[in-house]
Amino acid sequence: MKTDTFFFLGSMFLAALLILASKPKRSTSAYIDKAIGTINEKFHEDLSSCYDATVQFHEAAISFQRGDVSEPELEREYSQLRETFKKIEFFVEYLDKEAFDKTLNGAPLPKLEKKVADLRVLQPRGMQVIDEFMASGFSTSDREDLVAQAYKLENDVKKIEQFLGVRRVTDRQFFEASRQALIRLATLGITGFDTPGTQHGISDATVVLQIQQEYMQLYKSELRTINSLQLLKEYTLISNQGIAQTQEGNFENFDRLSFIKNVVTPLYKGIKDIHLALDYETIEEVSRYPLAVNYDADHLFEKDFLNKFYYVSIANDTSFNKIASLGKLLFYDPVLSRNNTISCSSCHAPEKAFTDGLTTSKSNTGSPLKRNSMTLNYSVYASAYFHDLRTKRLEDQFEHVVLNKDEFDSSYPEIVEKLNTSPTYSKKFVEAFPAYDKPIKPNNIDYALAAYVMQFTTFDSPVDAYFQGTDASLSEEVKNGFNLFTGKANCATCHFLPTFSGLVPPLYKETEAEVLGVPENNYEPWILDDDIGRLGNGVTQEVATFYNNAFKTPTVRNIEKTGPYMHNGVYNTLEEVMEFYNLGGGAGLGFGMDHQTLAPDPLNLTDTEIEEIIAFMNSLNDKKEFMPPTDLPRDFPEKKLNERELIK
Amino acid sequence: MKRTLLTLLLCVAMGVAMTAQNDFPSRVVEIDWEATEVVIPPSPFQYQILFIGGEDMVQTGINEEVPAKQWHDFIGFTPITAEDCVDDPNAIGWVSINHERIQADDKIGDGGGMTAFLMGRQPSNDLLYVVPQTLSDGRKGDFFNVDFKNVGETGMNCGGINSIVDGRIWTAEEWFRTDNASIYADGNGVRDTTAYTIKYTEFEMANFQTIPKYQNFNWMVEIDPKEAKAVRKQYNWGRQPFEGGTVAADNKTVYLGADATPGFLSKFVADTEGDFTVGTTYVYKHDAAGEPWVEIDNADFSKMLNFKDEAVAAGATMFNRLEWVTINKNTGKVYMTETGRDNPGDRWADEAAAGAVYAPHHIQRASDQGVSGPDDENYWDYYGRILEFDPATGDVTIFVEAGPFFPVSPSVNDYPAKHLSNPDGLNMLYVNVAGEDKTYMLINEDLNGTSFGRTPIEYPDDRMCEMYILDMEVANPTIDDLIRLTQTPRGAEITGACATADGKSVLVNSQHPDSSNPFPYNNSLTFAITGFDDSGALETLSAPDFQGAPADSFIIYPNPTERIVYFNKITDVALYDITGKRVAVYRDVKSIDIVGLAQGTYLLKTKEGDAKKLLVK
Repeated sequence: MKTDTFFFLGSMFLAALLILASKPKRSTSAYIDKAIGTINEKFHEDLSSCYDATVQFHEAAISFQRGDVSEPELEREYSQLRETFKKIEFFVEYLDKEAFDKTLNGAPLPKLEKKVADLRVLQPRGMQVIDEFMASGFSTSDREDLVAQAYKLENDVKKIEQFLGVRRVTDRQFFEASRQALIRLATLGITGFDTPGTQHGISDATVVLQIQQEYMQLYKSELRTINSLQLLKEYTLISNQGIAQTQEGNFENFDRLSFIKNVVTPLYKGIKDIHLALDYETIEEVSRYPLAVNYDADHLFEKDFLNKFYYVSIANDTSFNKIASLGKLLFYDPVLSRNNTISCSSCHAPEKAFTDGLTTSKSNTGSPLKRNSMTLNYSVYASAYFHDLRTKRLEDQFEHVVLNKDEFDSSYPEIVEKLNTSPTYSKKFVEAFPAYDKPIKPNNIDYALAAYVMQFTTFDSPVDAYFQGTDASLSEEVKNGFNLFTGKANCATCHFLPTFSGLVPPLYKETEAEVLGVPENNYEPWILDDDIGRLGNGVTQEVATFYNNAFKTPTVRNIEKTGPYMHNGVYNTLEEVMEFYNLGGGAGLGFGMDHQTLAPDPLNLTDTEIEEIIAFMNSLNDKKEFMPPTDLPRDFPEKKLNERELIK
Repeated sequence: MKRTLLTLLLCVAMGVAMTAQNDFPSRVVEIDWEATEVVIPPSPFQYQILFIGGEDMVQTGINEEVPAKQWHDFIGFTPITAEDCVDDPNAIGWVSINHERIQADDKIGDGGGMTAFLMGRQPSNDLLYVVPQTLSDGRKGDFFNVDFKNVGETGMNCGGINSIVDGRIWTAEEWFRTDNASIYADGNGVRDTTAYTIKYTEFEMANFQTIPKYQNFNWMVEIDPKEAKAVRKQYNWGRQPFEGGTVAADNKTVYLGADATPGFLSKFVADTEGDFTVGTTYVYKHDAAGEPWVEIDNADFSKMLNFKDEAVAAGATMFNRLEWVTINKNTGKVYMTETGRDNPGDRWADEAAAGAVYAPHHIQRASDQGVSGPDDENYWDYYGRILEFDPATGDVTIFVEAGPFFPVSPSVNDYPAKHLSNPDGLNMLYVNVAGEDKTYMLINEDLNGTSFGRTPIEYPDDRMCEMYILDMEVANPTIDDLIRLTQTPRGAEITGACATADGKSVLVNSQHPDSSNPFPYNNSLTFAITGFDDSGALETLSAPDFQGAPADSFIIYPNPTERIVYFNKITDVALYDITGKRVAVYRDVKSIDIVGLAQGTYLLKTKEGDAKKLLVK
């Protein structure tokens, strides 16, 4: 070794030692030194404050029942409870979603206990139930029930505190939870979903933004170290704008459109920017399985906000396009039906957003079927298919059409046998599914059709363009319509943003069904439609009376093209649909609907408001059009088959 | 020169570490090639898919086949004997698989069902294969639909019984039905709901009784896997939401578990060995004077129909969902999973008031939780457990408590590395490894939910069900003694772990996955894990012992069987690939799961700065 190298090495060693000495000692205490240490401490403190608030509210409810506390005093206590709850909500929902939904803040509707061998109805509990009581008339039994609910909440928050109070969350989890909280704020908070009784939605938003800002400030010194303090400043500026907007607004007049575009959207991106700048790991490095919400997305209306591969069994790899183009042929090909006369496109025509324009679809003999054809656009984003929710995945629904005597009236072995005789189809299956010896098999037929349908998710309507910032021109009428849809008219509490379907935020894992009380005919005397819906879907674990007359909540995207409306196609126009909702659904028509999930009260929408809502919905038409293939494979040895019609 | 460069790089790296806020920057400057290399060999087990629901065709008649039903659950194995006339010398026995659902099907038959097939083993490589058969009714093929027409159809075939004596098979019709509408399911389920008249059975008390169709479900049904036909419904064992059962070595005693809250443990004792049509039926009552069994008169058909009412009236012991039952043939002790249920309080309060009694461990748990009793709405039983019944003492005790449940959650450092939630499937594995007879218990999870730590808090939205194996030589086992064997794709349930008689393979079902898993894992399927007789494989089935390792050291122990790397301490680690890119970060962990890692070299770094090179094969 040369001497100069030796000296060089020596000096480097010394330098390294000096650097080491100047560094804070690395140990587990590093957690405490950093933002995440304080974040954990703060969360644990906020958890116990929330528990204290539940104890206090429980006491207040008891005093109120006795008459020792006045209504305004109880309301003050309730506001306090909400405030402390909203401070912990983002972490609790993120860390234990199931407990959160079951006990703290689930929808105030009965549910079935899952994974048990008998039918047990779980009665709702938590903040949303209490919120309904706070808006009730406070009858004697209301007061009694409020005490019982407050006691449950106290116990439930205690359990959460015991479980999460000593856990240590990581930076990654904090950022993910914070972004998820913004989704909740935009989709469930300001829309009134979280507050079915009172109208606290907007004041809740103030608390959510404030607490998030408090937490985010804890990253100041870490951001300063990497010269990225600007990110926090930008975040804080927008957050303050949002806080000001929520403080000025109330539930009636709040401009949700501008709030989502100018506050929620930049904040959602801003938190990701801070996360990535600090170089903390992201979910992709921790879990092998992708979630429904794509963490990379910048905002709610981005094309890839939801990961469509989450909802299907098809892999997101290089063969996807080939599978989808094979699916495109199959979709329009009547060879899938026994008599080679009908195809998927018979009831799902591309120019009608893949519906058929009929009241109810036609059978293979031309007689009317039971239900209306649903749009396939955005249909991949769902956990249940058919109006009665009988299957769970897009690729699983096809077999119901194949086997149905009134529809394709066929079988997979029959279809496989036919397809195998066409050299073109054989070649295309081999190209699409190179890993298989015999690629023409039932699963692959299902996959191909599903892959084609997965492409109908363009997110390119005028409303999308507005939020994406590519086209800022929405008329005042449409803007008002959006604010009514997400506000007074209560539409967005079932047709959730951004799919405007029953896919529930903020996780977007589960599709909801609703009991509306749709009539059989659009004329008097009003008769409830006799379709039992979900109750009759053949899923043995779902035989609960509250599923009677329940139907899947479809998307309202492209609604201008998808009439007639409702599961039975009873309404021809959107005006008729709006009138039905404005009256309070079936309850408004006088049906004794004891389990209607739509609020039975009239919405009191004016004619102008209804026009505005319709104008908004008509701005949800996709720009891109889908075209059928120019022709079908015609190289079957059976001559008659080659004469079949391409059904457009 | 190389060293100079390294030193330089070290200094630069430290400079970077000064400014980066993360212990693990997303790119390191240079991989530390000097770090100790740890080789992770490929798994010693062979994995094979045997049978895929919805894909493989089952024979329903002569030259008539349809895709198999899905929702695989129980698996039974019936070893071949010298009396069976099978041409293939490598055939080892018949496999029977339950389909846990109710579905209309013109060919298979409405309701649930079973599939049976004959299996062989290649002597050269131990791989399993399906042996084609021709049955005496003329059906030919690989997979056979078990015909239930002669017993009035079947449904919700969940668990079952696989006799340790001779491999006889019973299927359990679990999901308890209380009306015809629930089996009819608007025409999608059992379409013929006319009243059913029981005829020509061995049970005189049942013959010519006409019952509503739904009451012909929820019995234990014996089947013949060799002929793929149902034999009889055991009208003498009572109508219960059966999930599992086991036959004792005497070939007379059958223990039965019912999946309900309350669920009862019942017993049938045959008068004659192997004839289960004549004998006495009992329900377990731990506090009975003398023997802890109360007879329920099985000559009275109405008592068999209303078994639960009789059990309550007898003051029987109540459990919170008994699922699978198995027996250790070396000791005669019976084991059963008590799956648990979040808040069972209102489910058994009425029965308690009517005279049934709580199992003592539930009274103890309720008291530990500070609630008034097992009927308290705040009593929780989130995780379940495995129970042991000792015929010698008549006591049911806790064998392995799942969870763990904590009245107050412990700190991160005290949190156990393993967590068992809602055990469901249960079976024994007897295998000879290098001349030594070993007995293992196989335990399958079926999560009731994800809350309160039933899935790792690290991964939101993950629902992984795991299969564990436990060495029966371990005295007083706890969850830390469980070794994880496999996990199914997200959302799926693993059921039916069943060992072949030679102990080389375990057959496992993966049931109703509800999420994005590529084919064939998106279907219900039966797969085999082979290699349990390999001493190399079993050696790895013991948790590493790091005792005596210095606290400031970083020692790792790769377990190729579990595809897990264990550490000697809890720490934060990151994995870097060969280009220096961060690919994974794990925090507060004692081990990491490397099952998803592609073959290759990785650098494992801890937050304390220790590093190890992993060579994944």
